[in-house]
Amino acid sequence: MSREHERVVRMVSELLNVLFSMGAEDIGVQVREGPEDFSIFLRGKTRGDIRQKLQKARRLLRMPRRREMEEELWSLAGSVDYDTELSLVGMMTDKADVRHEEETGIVEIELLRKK
Amino acid sequence: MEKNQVPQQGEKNGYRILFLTFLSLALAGLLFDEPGAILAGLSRIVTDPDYLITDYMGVGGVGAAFLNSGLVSMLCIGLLRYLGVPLTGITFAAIWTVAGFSFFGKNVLNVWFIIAGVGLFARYRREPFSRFIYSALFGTALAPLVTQILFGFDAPLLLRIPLATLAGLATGFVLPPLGAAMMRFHQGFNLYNIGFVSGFIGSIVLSLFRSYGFVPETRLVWSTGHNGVLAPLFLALFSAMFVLGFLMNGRKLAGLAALMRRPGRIVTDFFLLFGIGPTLMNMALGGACAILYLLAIGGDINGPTLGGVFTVVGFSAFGKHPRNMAPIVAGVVIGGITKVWGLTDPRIQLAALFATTLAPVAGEFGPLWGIAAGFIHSSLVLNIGSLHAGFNLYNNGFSGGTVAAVLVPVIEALRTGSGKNVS
Repeated sequence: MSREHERVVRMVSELLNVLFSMGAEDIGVQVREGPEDFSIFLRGKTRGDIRQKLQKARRLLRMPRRREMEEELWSLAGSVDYDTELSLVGMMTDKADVRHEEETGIVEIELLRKK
Repeated sequence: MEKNQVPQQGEKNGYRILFLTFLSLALAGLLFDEPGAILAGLSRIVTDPDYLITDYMGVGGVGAAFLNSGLVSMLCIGLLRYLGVPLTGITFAAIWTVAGFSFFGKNVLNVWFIIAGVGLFARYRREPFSRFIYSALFGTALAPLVTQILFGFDAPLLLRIPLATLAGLATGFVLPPLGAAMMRFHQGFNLYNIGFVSGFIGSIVLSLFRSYGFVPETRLVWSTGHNGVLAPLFLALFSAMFVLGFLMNGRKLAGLAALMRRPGRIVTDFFLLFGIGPTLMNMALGGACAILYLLAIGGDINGPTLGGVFTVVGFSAFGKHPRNMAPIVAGVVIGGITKVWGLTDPRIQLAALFATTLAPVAGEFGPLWGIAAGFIHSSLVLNIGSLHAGFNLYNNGFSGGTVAAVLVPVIEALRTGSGKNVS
């Protein structure tokens, strides 16, 4: 597995953790590799009141891209279920969007990572 | 949605603050010695073997130690700016750590070999050097290896120069891949990750040294008698830093309480999460607490302990705060009461300051586990240093990584067993 692929796998793992923590059971994952970037999309039907968790996830995922931090720290992403790695995923991506449909409980997370 | 970027102005201000702090530090050297004596002292600092524990204030004088620390840190800030590295919490951590260890082991000569080695790795990988800059800055923990070969070995200079260069470059070259790999061992609960890596590298290199008959002597250069001058000086600096943070935060303490509720595990970048104001206030509090701790136990404020204080200050932008550090220090203090050594033993003074590398353990799992981590660390750090004979300046990072790697899985297992949710 290439270094880029390994990092994407860890990011997806971290995002799965986030959706699990929101009570999601039925989760779809889509990863597309383009010549210059990866797009990562997760969709899950969550349960209960997730407003606080959602707010936190949005805040952490919107961390600016920091390639110089990623080199040393990327291996922490997706390793265990502590919230601080989500900021690392934020630092590993160039665009982040978290959407929530309150009526259905559907949460969609969309990330773009330039190579 | 495009990412929110840290405001450019905040970044520029942060770099300015860092630069002016260390420019002041370099100039403050003139308060202690005449320029001629400072330069002579700097020459001794550069050429003296400087593995643990070598207090540059004892080797070259207080003024020269200040100048060395100020110069090394300003050059590193210049390098970061030249490479266009955005300011983050880890930038503060790296620069303050380099500045701190430039009071006992890093100097204007020996750090560049390691940094160049990391640069070679970047070139080999055909990636920008900036991506590995933090491995390079923290990796200067192994700079005493270069000094030892260059000035401590009994061999012709023409042999020592290429050998020292090769050792420095090779050490720097292997640091980046090891940094990422070793992080998994302690899962980010040891803030001095490169210290953990450097412990292994230092141990391997020392084994090679020993195989060729070089057995380094235990070293302890530890100056005393500076408390009366240095304590007020640094308490004033940290007070000014707190006021500056307060002003930059709109004359509010807002954010500081939230910051202190964070567990502090890597990656907890206070600068990115809370902005420069609360970060500076937290850094100032960390530094002041460290100085007051030394005064309270009757310790010494000198090169090595200032290294500890500066590292606390730097990492207070990247995970540490008084709330998660206190239990760790309490663990070391309990050790001081029950074990065979006292709190004013030089190595234990350092252990108490640097043990805060384990602050995330207290932050994540609670004060009791933090106390346990500090208690264990204070014993391990006294033994683990023999593996690298002090050539890894971040001995506490080596010990802290080992403690975290062993303790965290046990804590997790016990917490899972008791039905607690760790998330």
